[in-house]
Amino acid sequence: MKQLTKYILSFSLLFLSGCWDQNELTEFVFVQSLAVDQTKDGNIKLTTQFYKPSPKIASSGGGGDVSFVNIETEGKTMFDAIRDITIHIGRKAHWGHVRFIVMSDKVAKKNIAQMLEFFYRDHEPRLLTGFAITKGKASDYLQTKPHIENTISEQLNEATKSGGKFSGKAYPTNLYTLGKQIHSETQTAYAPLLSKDSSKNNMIIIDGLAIFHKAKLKQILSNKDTKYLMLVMKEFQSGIIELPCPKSDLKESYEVLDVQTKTSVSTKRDGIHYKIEPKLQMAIGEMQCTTIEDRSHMEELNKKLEKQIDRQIHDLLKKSQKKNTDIIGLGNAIYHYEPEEWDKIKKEKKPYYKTATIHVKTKVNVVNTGTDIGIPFSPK
Amino acid sequence: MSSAKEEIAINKNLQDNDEYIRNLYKDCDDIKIQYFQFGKNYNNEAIVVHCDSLVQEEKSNLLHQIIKDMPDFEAALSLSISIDEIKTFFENKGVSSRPVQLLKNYSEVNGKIVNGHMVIFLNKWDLAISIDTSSVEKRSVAEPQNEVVVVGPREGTIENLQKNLGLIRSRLKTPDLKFCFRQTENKSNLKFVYGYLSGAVKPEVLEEFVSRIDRIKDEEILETAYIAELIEESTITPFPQYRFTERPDVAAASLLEGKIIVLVEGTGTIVICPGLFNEFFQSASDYYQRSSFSSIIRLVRYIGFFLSIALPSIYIALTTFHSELIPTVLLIALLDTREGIPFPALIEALIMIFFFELLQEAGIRLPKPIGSTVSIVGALIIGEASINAGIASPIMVVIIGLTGIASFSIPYYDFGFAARLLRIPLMILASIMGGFGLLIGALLILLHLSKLTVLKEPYLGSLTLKNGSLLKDGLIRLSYKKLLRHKKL
Repeated sequence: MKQLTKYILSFSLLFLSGCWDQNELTEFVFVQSLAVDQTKDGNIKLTTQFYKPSPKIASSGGGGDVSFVNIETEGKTMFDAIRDITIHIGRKAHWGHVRFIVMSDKVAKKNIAQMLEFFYRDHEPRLLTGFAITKGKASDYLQTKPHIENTISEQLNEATKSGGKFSGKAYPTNLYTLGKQIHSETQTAYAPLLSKDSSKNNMIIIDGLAIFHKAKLKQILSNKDTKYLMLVMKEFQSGIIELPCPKSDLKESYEVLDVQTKTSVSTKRDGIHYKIEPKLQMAIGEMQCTTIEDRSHMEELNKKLEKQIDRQIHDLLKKSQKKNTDIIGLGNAIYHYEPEEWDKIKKEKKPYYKTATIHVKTKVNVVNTGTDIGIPFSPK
Repeated sequence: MSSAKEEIAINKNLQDNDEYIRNLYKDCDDIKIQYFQFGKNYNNEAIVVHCDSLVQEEKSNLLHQIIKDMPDFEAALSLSISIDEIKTFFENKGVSSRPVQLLKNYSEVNGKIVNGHMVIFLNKWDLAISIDTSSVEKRSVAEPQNEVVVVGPREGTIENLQKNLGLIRSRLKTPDLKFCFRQTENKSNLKFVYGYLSGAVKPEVLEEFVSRIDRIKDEEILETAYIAELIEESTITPFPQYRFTERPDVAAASLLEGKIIVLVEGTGTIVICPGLFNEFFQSASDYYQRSSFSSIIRLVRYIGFFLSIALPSIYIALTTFHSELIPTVLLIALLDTREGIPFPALIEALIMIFFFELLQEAGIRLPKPIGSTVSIVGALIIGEASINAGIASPIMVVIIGLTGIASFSIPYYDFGFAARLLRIPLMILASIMGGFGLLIGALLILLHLSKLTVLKEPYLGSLTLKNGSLLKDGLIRLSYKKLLRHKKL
């Protein structure tokens, strides 16, 4: 009897998976990206971009040069809109390869978390799907043809990722980081803002950073400000810092090789003190008005750069402090270092960010001058 | 001609002997029977029987020679020799220039004649004299075609048993190397030899082997593969349990490792038993190259074996069940190639595998100059055309091509058969149950392998970490400085 149950049990394992789960690749249509808009009467308008295979076999005819199909559906809820896709396209939609989700700024002002509920719950979509906010109608962004990548979603995904890596001007948001930030203590979340440059053939560019509070779009930062915000948030990887020349409109640029930012929170009688200490290793990129001939000049240059960065960060934070939007995640830091203090702040709903004193102390070390000449290349 | 069992003694009367022999070899025109008279007044009679096709080099009359050899008589006097004198000489084991045996009955006579001996009957004597004159055309020692090495000896075995034994003996000059002769007792009457190195071989393995080899006496054996199959434990398994080689250096090395070898007359193939799993991944050249390189090449072979078993089924499982596991960029490439193929992935793969096997078989059968044409036609035209015709996708051609190539990376050709056989059930499992089915298949193979024994040795025994052999001369090959120190013979 015991033997028999053993066999029955192990035999039933065979039915865990089976032919009914089997689907050939050609039975699926793979969702590449999604655009979420809103119609005038409050419905969700979903634009789904599918990958359209272009067979390289001579006999089956050319697939054309467009490698995607866009399908627009409407629904009261996201899932409702998604289910309507099957009416439009003969194949089963596969959500396992969604690369990018764009959402119009209009929708984002309401609540992004409500819209994205499906993607956090369903088993097919991945959390590493990229996410961005668009200026204007999101569906327009999916009509654009990609430059090099196969699909526009791939291009958007790569642009936000490498933009963050090399220029420091973009924050590579995906559903995972977004979800984590929405559920953090400060509930501040970040996503890149895309815009279309109508003067340049409708090219899509990353035009800043959208900042959410409680899943609602609150503020938009310019690219320049994003760079300094990334420095404060310890997310800066590489980028260029500009330094204006005195008494002329020339500008010099310095490349950041490596950053390490230290932050610390302390509560004193006069309120919360937040100390930000970015430590940068830099290289000279372009020199216009500085001359470096000995060690003291080098120190001078370091000081100048430190001052410039300090000022930029101060300006950025002062603006946000005025609006009392905690863009740097100060609340999270307080929760980390002084959890009791944070409990108090939360209970009393104190405007902790506005009243906080923020100290910025940048340390710059120029380690590489490029070509070994201490004067600008252009002759005077 | 079941004379082997009859044991009829040789008659004293030469006439009767002559009659019996002629009757025995009726219609065997290559058996030559010659009648001689010699001695005083030519009153001594003799018949000389030999097989013409087995004695090709002997030109001189041996009867004359043995008479000449007898030291008591001068050559000139040999004419006056009497039968009695010859009898006394041989019965007292007189010294002659060639080794001579005395035969008592016809089963012995037949045994000698068909082995190329010359048998002489004298009148009034119930014994026959046999002299080994066997000489058969044989090819010279050459490099074996399917076991080529870059560095190392180029000798290969030939179809002559004595020569082959000599090639091995010359490598192991020790009395510990034992060769035991056996002969089948049926029509083929073929000699076969098993050899081992006493001290190196495990006694229980040898005992098991001998008890099995003694059971096959009555079988007709023409090739070593007959013996291997007759003494193996499991004939249903796709995994070979014996290694075949044509290299005497490989045979010698395996003797040192405690293996038993079997050689059969008339074939150059040597069986090495027991053959354990990881030994099939070891090539002779591993031991003639730098150990670091050999180790990497061995890993490549293990990966190759894995690929040749599982690659098509992994592809099928991934594309039909787990498309979310494929990286997006690769998936896009796959979609482009798969679109427009009318068959499911399994059928597509089966068609391509059938193509591949067909090409391979055709390539082997055809003579060399045409064989290369087949591979070109097959690879280029059929491959290209089937893609253009929409039967197969380019990625499938890549997968099946890689699978086929991978199975050739295993040094022992017949071990690749295991991969070729197991591939298909795995593909079917993968297409029914996806990755889950693949795991079931892998588990079943593993269970089967761990249950398999060869001469009561576990087949996977060499893969255990127990004596550290896996990490010395298993997955990798250590340098001889480290490898040989632990091997005590």
